[in-house]
Amino acid sequence: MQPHRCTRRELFARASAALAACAGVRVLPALDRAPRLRITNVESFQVRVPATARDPLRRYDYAVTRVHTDGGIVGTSFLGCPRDVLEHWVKPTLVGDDVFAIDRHLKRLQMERGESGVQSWSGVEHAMWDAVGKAVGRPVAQILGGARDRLRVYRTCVFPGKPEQSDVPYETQAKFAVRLKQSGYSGIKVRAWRPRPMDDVDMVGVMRRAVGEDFHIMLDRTAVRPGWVWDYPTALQVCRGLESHRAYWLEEPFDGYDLLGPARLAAEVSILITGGELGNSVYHFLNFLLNKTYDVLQPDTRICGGIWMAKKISVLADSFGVPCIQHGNNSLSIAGYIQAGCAMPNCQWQEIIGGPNLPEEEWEPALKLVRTPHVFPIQDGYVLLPDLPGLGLDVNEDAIREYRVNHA
Amino acid sequence: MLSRRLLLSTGAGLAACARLAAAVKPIRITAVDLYEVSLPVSQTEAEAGVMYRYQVAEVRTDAGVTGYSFAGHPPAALPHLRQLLVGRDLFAVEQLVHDGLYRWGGVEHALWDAIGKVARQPVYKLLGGSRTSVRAYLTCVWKGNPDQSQVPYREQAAMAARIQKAGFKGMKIRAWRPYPLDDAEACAVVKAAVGADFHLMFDRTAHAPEVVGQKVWPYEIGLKVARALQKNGAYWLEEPFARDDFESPARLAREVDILITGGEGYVGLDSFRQCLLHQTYDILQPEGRGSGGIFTVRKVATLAESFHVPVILHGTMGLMLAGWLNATLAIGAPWQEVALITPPLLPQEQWAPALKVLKTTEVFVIRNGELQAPEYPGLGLDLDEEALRRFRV
Repeated sequence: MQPHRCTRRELFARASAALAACAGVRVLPALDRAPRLRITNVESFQVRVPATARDPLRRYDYAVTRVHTDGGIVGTSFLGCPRDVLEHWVKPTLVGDDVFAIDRHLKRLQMERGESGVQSWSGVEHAMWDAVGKAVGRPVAQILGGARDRLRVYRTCVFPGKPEQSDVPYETQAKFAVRLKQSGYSGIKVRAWRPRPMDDVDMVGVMRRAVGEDFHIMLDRTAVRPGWVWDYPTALQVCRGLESHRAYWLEEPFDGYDLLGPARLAAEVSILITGGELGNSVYHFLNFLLNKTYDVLQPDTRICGGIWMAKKISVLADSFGVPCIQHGNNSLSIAGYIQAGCAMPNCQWQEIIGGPNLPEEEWEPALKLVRTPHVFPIQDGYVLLPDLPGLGLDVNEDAIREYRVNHA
Repeated sequence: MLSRRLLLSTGAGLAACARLAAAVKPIRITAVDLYEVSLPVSQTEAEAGVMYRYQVAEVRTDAGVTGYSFAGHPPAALPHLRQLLVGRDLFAVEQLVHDGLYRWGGVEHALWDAIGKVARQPVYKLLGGSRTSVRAYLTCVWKGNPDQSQVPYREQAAMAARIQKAGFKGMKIRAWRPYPLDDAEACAVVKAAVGADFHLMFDRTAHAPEVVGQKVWPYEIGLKVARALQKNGAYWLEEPFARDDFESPARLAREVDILITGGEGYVGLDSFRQCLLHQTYDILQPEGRGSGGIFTVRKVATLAESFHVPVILHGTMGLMLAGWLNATLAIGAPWQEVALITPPLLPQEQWAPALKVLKTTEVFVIRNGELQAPEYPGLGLDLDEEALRRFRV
């Protein structure tokens, strides 16, 4: 804790206490003033967990961002911060300032670096929240209102092969869905990128027959680029097909910034139309809501500018009665996502992105970087809010030192 | 399915148990209490309007921390509140507000006081605030007829000058006089006394003038008054029309430049969202307690921010102010209303008896008309709990 100078108020209180003592009056002990926490340094680097054979379905490389404070508390996130932003904005702006003032720092970043600048600092923002949570002794989700203590997990699976998955047999995808279900998970998301759109519908039919009814199947068109976008009749035909196989949602069928196309589709079909992962200001999401663009908003807690921004977007969506189910990430990087999600009354799922394996298999190498027996506690297909302060990771400092590679 | 590797590391993890970071235990609410305190004052002080009675809300926890609010509710609510709160997680504010706590915003304040004390941080900092002070404006209501028709304009001007001399930058008075343009004349007289830099606000208070036999203004009256107030230099006109009328204030706000404000009567987010969609008000004024509490105000500010609409809380005074001030600082609002002031008293004079339950020498520190951010954990009141028990009714 930083020593503080005596204020006029304290001097006065002490003087009156002394006077009272002289007069034989009971002197009351005052509450301790709130400790201050100032940022002393921010660093970002890479760690590489060693392995004899590197399994392509497991993750060995991690970006780390650390926020050091004068209280001795260090906040850690497993999201990187680009060197340019770190050296030319983060350090000159944040060092010496209050780690709690995240809203003020974010507004300054928006002003000085614009909307597109906000995603570059998210590693720092998550690490600041880790420091705040540690200072306070509570999980970040609880500081933000503690809406829930677990999130249902769905696995987003990109199979090895061509990005559009056209060389992946339907049966391979179906078999993996069955494995997920047998392992306790209740949802899968796969790409709807095949060159003939109805092929993805057929694949969902195969998957549905294999996995049974009580399992959520989501499709992601990821149509973030013009030229890649379906025309409306195609999208409608795909949705009708997906409806017949009782798929749960179709994500980003049109351009990521298109307000009206998804709205038209959402009004016409019963399957949920979702999107929003590219949004990096509350105004993007406000426009989605005003235009009824999506049935479910999917801010990304890194891209949108961090945990605080994600929480704001959730409040906005909630006031319109719209679910806010975050876009995902993987392994240690989802620590901040879990905290944000558990602070949202309208977020039921946590997406964990990876290959055809279970989340705990993918992040198994990360066990070397934490001191807990698991990376994140998983139970019955839910990820539990860790019962640790901050972002909920008990980071193994020795391992971080040992495996540190360089700047991210 | 657990891999061999996972199983092994689980074993290793158990062995290394002692090195692990301390697990966070849930903090449970063990008791809630509502009671009244009456602080000793002379009859003269009481008649002058000095504040000496408070409804206290007390929330006890199994962490040994107790949260207090002086914006409590009558004890009749206790059975409901016990059922709602006892045994629940202190930090589950979102869920508790949803489950019904929004009806008892004062108890929500006490919850935040406990949360801040557990966290050893002021509540406003936990909720994203980083301002160190906020300008206060004083809402003055003279004793006697609520419509203030008995108060000479020059007396209102004298009070404004007194407030200005004490460092404050703004005052709000009622726009309740039977002949509405009289209030615009009062505006001219007050502004002539205090000059252009002092903010003067007017409050029509929607349907409240019904107590003096008045009706909600027709639109044309509201327009006339707003134009006259604007001409005479008023800063804003508050709640010129009914609270469920989202359209007329919007129409007025489009037609005049003086700010049209409102929102104190709304509970939860929906009406605020309606206001924002209808562009009903230039400034939203959620109630610090009635809206649902501090957490709801924080949400309203988040909505309003995305519509570029400022939020300034509907106010209160004395020890009650602790919760409002934390909400104000959390959202970075430009003003804190202090209400109701009974002229000629100033806030520090009116809330002086509260010092009897505090260990500090001031209730709230005011410097140059700005309320200073509390430096103590929770809502920032350093309470003498023994004295509190002594004055319990």
